[in-house]
Amino acid sequence: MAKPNIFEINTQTGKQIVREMNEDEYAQHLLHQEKSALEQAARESEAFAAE
Amino acid sequence: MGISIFPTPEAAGGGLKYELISSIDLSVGTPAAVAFTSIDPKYRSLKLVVDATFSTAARCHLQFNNDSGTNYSWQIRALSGTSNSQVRDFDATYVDTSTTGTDTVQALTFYVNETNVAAVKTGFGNSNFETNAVVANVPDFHWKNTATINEWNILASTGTFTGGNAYLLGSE
Repeated sequence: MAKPNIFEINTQTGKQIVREMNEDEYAQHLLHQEKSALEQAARESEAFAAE
Repeated sequence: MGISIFPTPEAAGGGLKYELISSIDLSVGTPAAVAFTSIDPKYRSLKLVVDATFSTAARCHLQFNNDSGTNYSWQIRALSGTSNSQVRDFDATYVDTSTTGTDTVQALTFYVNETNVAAVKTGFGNSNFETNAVVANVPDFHWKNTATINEWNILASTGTFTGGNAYLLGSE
């Protein structure tokens, strides 16, 4: 499966790059999205319990 | 798509002495993350304006200098319809821009101060969803790092960006 892209712009030169994430970045990306989903679920659960 | 509640970057730059540093067209390459790199250390304050669409309901997460460590603390006061809430997270790996909501369209403005001095960074902002328009968030945060900010990273909480723009402005 293709890895997601990163769009980078060098703010001093204006150079723009769209590239596929490398292995380290992809690992961080998966960790981030997993953590994000878990936190989202936990907050929605807390909000539901508070109602 | 159109977010009318924020001034244009040009107008904001003129009125608040912020100048446009760079902009990113979020429709290019459907990225999951975008980054403003090599930010000139002459800027003491930075302003980020984002008007984004996502491939699925999501929201933006922010990081600095590509730091994914547990170095962020944030709190958000949110209004969802008529319900108020407040959420916070210490030692987080990113700055969140909303409490519980996600949407396919999000607009946000964030400021961070003392970006080029050896101090822990503080910032604040606001965030609105467009189609889920009853949700409004007022976030603030710390980045527990004294390094000069040379990169501002914007991550989709899930999926990818599909359109809109991100603007980085700076004030010396």
